[in-house]
Amino acid sequence: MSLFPFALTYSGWAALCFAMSRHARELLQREPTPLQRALLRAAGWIALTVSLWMTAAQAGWPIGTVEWFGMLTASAVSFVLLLTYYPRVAAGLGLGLPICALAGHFLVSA
Amino acid sequence: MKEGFRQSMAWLHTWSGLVVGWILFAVFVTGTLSYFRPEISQWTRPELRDVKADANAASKTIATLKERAPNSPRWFITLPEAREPIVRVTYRDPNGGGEGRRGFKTAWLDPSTGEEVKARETRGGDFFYRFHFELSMKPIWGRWVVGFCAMFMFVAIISGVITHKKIFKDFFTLRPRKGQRSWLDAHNAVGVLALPYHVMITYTGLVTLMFMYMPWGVQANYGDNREAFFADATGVAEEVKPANQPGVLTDIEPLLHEARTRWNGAHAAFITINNPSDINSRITIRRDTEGQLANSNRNVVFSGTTGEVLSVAGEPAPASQTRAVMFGLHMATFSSTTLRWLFTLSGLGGILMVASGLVLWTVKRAPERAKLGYTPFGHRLVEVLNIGVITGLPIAVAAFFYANRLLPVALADRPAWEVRVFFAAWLLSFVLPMIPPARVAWTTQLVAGAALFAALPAVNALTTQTHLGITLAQGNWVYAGFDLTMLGIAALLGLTGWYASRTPGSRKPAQRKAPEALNLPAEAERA
Repeated sequence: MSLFPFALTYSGWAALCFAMSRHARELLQREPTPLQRALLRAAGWIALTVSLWMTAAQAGWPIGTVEWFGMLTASAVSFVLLLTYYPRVAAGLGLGLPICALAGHFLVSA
Repeated sequence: MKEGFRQSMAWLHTWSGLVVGWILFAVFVTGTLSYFRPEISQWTRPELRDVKADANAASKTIATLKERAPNSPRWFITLPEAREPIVRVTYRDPNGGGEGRRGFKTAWLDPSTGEEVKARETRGGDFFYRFHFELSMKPIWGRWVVGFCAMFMFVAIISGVITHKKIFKDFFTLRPRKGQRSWLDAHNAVGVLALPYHVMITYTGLVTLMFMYMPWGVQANYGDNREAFFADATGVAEEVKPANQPGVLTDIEPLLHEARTRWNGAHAAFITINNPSDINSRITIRRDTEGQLANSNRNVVFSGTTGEVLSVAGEPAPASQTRAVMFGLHMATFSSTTLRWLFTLSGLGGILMVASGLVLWTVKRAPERAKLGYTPFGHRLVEVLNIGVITGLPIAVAAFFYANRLLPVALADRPAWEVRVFFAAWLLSFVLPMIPPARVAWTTQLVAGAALFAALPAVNALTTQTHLGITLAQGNWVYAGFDLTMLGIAALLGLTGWYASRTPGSRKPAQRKAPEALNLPAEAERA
């Protein structure tokens, strides 16, 4: 398991969450436009799918799928806890985590 | 009485969950611990600290067994692996002198020398593993009880999903410090976010013992000859009769090499040798489960004297393969360290789901108690059982580890004493909860559990040479990881205890005036 697919599941959850008007209002104090909501929802599902695909490419479909479900639970729990107590951090990490994971990956392989 | 579908499901969820909840909590806790069965078994035998895996372990072991038990009808050899780098041999003592079950003797051998390593007598990780599905009862009874509870667990999961009004809308919702609302949110969150795990673990758990719960299909086709069924279904060869002519075992190393070539380089995990001193000897080498979901018997069987390949188990038939995959998923034997911790996290989700569900039962009925002005016996009973089970089991687990370190090594029947300490500690945990108010019992026992786990590495340091000062320096992560995990558990219990202590107010609704009583008392506020 590498960190990038995990970061992607986190971002996926974050995008799907802020596509919901209740959570978007909490964070931005305004209603997101229908276009923004559609984009966020699409981005969320794409992130989750890509992470499944990447995990399966790395570990094979049987174990990759099991790993992916494990990562979904772990990232969702971390996201929900952060969202409850530190909503801004939770949202920021949606972008920050994949960037950090990628940067870390290139630093290690360089 | 016309009730909606959802209400009837809510009723089903409440009562199916409550009735078996306490046992399920114990099953979840010991099951999650069993993901680390080899590590626990190592830690409980500090004498094994410096043992290292060795490439020639198999031939060294066989040389030892030839000396120790040449006339035994069967030898079982568990080869060393990273998580448990030691050889474990079990054999039938032909003289019946073994103290174990049915004359079986078990010994631990150093992989590099083949000599026996004397370790203290303990059940180690096996205790939690077997408790997980036998509850320390007679195996047959325990398995039926656990199966019964698992079935109800499945009912509770399905009815829980149906009765959850806004499963998608509330997916990310956790509202703290709102009493009953918070408990429900937390219960939903750990339930829904780890739902794939809960469904998988409950269903596959039932599947692991399906031949016991539903034996009729096998009975109809094989009658009482269950051995023949398992030989057909799982690819475990039936026994061969000895020819009663002496025979000499061939060298094991070329056979291991042959087996590994057939498995594309995968490692051997287990060797069974039948009739080792007879001309009709059989050597069965089983592949490890690393990298494959299925926990199936991928065996290569050799003639013991000539080394000729007699049979190779390939991919099992689809039905067997399905069962093997479910078995493998439940046991998680395939997993890497990271994946095992992901399973553990989900297992923790299951523990919290059951615990929060049990607490919700009493929290929901707080208004009823307030209205009555006293606590009915049933409510009190549930509350005492909740505190005794949820805070008592961690104390009992810690007590087991203390017993492992503090009981004299020479004590007769030592493994049984460790188990007695475990149950004694658990029973004692029901005393304080009987004295109201409940909040004091919750807080005290959670903090006590935290203190016990926090002090365990220190006690380990005082009694053994496997403490963090040495194991961290050596990079011995089996022992160091155990101690660090104990500190982690202590932190979790301490945090829970701290939340419990912040709960304002008394739990005695009788002392409250009516308007005040409408606020949910005590544990409802704890979130």
